[in-house]
Amino acid sequence: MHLEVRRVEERDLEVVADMIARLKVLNEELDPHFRVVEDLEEQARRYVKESLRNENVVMLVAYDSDAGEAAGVIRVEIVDRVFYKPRLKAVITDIYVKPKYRRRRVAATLLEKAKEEAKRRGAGIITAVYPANNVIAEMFYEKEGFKTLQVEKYLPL
Amino acid sequence: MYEPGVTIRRATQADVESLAKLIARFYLFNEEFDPAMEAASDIKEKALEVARARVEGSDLLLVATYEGRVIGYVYGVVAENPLLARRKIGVLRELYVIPEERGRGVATMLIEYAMRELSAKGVHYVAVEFPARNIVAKKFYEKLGFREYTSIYLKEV
Repeated sequence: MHLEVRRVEERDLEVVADMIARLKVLNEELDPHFRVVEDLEEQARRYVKESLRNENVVMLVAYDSDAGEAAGVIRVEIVDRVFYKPRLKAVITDIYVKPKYRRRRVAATLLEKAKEEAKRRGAGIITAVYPANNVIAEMFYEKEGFKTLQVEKYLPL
Repeated sequence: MYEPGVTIRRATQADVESLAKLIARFYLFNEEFDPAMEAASDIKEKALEVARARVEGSDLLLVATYEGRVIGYVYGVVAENPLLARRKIGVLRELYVIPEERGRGVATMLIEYAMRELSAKGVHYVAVEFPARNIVAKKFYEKLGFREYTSIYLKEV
């Protein structure tokens, strides 16, 4: 496997949208509060398209050039914290590695590249948002040294 | 917590197609936990074949239905070891409830029904298999009184 990490481009739309959709389905499996919409694939494509246009979003794809196939994706949003220093934080909103590429440090590589890009853009902190029940994400970030910064509570209405 | 409209019964020929969909979803979910569980590329067709064969004859194959729709299933086998004092054990190999119907006790109903069916087949214990990393499943079965029994370790050759 030869891994190449690069910016997501228009030509990656389908494959990236597919990985984003799979991430949402995984979240749905782990917690009924993340029930996906009926037109998930369409929404995922829209999300990727909008992300491509948004200058505060960094989207990177890990590409296995031997197999000619995308292995994983990371999406990071640069957010101005306004009240706090450092003002700019990079938020990992989505990260997904195809099952067959797991356990080969694909996510870690994506994270490293995303950190570099976030730093380059002036972010002083990087965070990740994921469902509390997503144990796969939980284990990954713990291994990467992330600590809890904020919590999100909910109450069904 | 049990939903009154939910019925548990043995799977029949008429359930093959809806059952196949759930089997495919079960495998696509499980592959998220370990690359060794990567689903076949034609999982949907394979699931249909498997569903057909299983309906023909299985030690245990139950479906949960709600308003006539199949919303979950459990598949199990009876394993026998003549070297053990209590040689028959029921093994729940697969259990799946569609995300939108979670949280209302459907899985619990499936398991309770499965325990009764297996008990009638003369098993002394019922075991359940799930990926080591599926913490949600682990918590769920522990809540139902299951305890850790065997561990399966894996290494690539």
